[in-house]
Amino acid sequence: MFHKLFFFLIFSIFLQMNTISAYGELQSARAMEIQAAFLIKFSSYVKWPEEAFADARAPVTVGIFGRDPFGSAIDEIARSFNANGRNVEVRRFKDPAATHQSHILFIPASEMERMDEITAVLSGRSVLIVGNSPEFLNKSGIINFVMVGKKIRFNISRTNCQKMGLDISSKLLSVAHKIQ
Amino acid sequence: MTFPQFRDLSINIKLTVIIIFSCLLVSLMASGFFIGREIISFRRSVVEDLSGLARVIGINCTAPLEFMDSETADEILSSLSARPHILQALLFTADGTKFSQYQKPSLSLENAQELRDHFKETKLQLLGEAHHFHKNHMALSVFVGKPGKTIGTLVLQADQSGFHAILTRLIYVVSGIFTTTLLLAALLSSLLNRVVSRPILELAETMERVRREKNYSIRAIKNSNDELGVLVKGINSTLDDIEKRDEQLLVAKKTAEDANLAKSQFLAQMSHEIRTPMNGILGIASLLLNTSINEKQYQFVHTIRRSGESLLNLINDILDFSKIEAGKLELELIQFDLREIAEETVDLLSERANEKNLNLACFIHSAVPAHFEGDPGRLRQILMNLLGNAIKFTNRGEVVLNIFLKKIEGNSAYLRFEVSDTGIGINKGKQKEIFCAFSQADGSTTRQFGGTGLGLAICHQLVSLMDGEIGVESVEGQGATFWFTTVFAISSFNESLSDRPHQPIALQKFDAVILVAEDNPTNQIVAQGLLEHLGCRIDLADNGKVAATITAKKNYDLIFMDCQMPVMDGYEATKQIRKAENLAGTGPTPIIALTAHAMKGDRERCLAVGMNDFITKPFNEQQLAIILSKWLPDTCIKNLPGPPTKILKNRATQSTQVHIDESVLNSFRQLQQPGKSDIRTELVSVYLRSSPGIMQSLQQAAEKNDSEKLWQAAHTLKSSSASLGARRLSSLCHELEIMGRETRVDDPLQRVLEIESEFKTVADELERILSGV
Repeated sequence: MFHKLFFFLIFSIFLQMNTISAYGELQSARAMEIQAAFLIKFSSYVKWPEEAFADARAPVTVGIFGRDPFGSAIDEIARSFNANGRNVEVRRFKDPAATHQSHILFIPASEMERMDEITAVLSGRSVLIVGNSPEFLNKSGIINFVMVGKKIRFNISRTNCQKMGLDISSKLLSVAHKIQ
Repeated sequence: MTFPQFRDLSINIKLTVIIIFSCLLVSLMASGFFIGREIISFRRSVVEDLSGLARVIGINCTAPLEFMDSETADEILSSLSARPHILQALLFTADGTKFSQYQKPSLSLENAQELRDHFKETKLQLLGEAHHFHKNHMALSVFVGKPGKTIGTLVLQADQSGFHAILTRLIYVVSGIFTTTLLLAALLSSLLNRVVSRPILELAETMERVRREKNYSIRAIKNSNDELGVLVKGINSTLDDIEKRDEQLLVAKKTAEDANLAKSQFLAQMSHEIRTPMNGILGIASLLLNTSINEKQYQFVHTIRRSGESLLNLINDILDFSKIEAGKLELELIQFDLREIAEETVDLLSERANEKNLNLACFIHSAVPAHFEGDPGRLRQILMNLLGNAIKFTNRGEVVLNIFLKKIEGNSAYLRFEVSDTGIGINKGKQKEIFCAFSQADGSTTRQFGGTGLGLAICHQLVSLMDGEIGVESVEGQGATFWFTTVFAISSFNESLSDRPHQPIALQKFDAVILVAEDNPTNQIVAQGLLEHLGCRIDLADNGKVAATITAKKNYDLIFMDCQMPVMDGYEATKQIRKAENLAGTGPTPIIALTAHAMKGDRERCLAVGMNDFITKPFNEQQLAIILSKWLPDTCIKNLPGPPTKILKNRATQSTQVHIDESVLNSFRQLQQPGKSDIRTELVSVYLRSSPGIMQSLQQAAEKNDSEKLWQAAHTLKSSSASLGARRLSSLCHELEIMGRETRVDDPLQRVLEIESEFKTVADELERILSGV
């Protein structure tokens, strides 16, 4: 029993250290480029309830809250992307109250203090909340980018996802690093 | 050895080859098609399977590719280990970089290298939707991603050994099909043989048999009503026709042969029928000539006899010819003396030559053997014909018979006879024709010279029978030389054939009692007259029965027996006479058959019943005399004084040129009237008295070279010499006369000297002949 606990502690510390250093790289410009592409691609692996869209042709709205870490690169990616017959538009939000207008909402690490505020707004809404901060999934996040080795991967919280009424494709789940 | 060409092979083999070949071809094509289709469909299914798999894998790899999750991609690809035939899987991103790879764990290094090499070779192609078959494996590539949005390429490389296994199985199947096809083809061809080739072969065999056996009654068997049946029917009906025609031809041939036989028999019968009255005519004429008649009557009777003899010759020719035509002429094989035959023939013709003032001579080469075995009668006939013709067609000059020996081989002597004349000759174009029947050099010849035109045809046939050849060499207007060759066996029997002194028969008289059995009154008169003229005493019997009765009572020196008589014929009578003689123990009386049949076989029949000899009607006095001298005992023969036999012997042995032809002198005896002085003596003494003067004028004319006087003197001497039979002298004078007339005498003195010397010889001989009188 003691041994188990000991190993768990050691493993946790190791994991913690690894995560800290990884999150540092996660914010680099190159990593952000990849995250932008992933963010847009998520739109084709997630199924929203019908009432989430005004009509069958309505675009998927990808929102970025607060300070934009992607820049214009994400707009470029979105323009040429097609998610199951819908176009993708990128919107930037400053006010947490407006974030419910998005289908996918990215909350950068710098805006994590306002996480609770945003989740309160989005409660009962079908928005895929994506971030790249530690403990993101424990704070109602659904997909959180992580650094695995030198690669960008992501973890998915199926619990939070179900809470939001979203259906994530098994394919996306199959490439997730961890699923909670 | 050369391979036989396909067209020369038996139809049987041809059919088999064709059937097997076409069956194999069809099965080859079918198998090829089948294998091709199998391969194509197999490959298609392989491609479909593989591309289906690739698509599933591709779809599964979409997310890993999009989210660059190579681990997941590796995981997905590693699931291919459940498919053992997948050797390698490669996942590329859209920009061509390798994203993930799977390799079959058991893959050997070489195989892996091979796959890599192969991939490198086909990389460009594989960067699209494509597949490619390699030796041992195939590669297939598919796009990953949604249509229009390619995010990568998946390449699968799969093992092809399954395909090879299938290919091997297919080859086994096809071999099986091939073997079955061959067996079926063999079966089929044997069936076809039964239906098609066997009837053809049978037909061919039948035709071959017909050809080989020349048997046109063989028929082919018809088994079907197809074209072969038609062929068989056609051939059979052709054979029917041939057989029918053969039968008709046989009948026609038989008819023709029968007709020919009937013709020959008719001719023989007619000749026989004509001979009997001819016997009367000739016999009575001869008898008449021996009676006291005046010169005019003598001329008339002589003409009758001459005409009768000509007629008889014609009949003999026709009879011979019909016998030859009927194939009934057979040669005898008896011993003979060639010199005797030649001289007899020349003797017989000398009178005719003399009449025309011709020189007739006979030369027998010294190498020619004396005695032969053969048919002297036929040889004499040929010589008579040729010499007779020569005399007939020669108006002046000479006729010479030459006999040469060509060679001796074993016991056979090859002789060549040549009869040369100085007559009219024969046109070159006609020289072949004249040996054909009824042909003379010219139709006008017959009118001018008479004759049947059968003589040379008969000679030709006779010479052929004697294994010889006959021919002529002639220049028209300059005489002709007829020649023929014969082969005779040399007789080893060297004894002289006639032991009696060779005497002119006409000089013999016979003191004998003779019975003549003859039913025909004319012939009775003839036989009686001729025999009485020969000095015999004659009894007559009307038939064989009378003859047999008379001979039982009276002894005769000789019997002449006609063969065909009423009541009892000559054959039966002879048998009875011989029987009676046996009983009485008296010596056999010579019985001579008198027959009008000139056919061979008669002689044998006569001899078989016991007759001794035979004589053919019509006969003349000379023939009778020969028979009498042959069969009567010597005591019955009275030799009349005649010319010394020495001269005759001389001639017979030397066979040189004759100075004096004593037959000419003898002919004067015919004119001798009983009780008058000898005509010959008178003629000879006149000739001997007058000739020296002529010789003198010849000499003078020669000295003066006076052609006119020369030919006149020569002419005179020629005529007087010829009439006494001094032939050589006569012909020498004749030559001089001709040259004198043409005033082209070269060396007249030499010629006169020749004539002088010949005259001296002639004078000596004449004196010798006369001294014998």
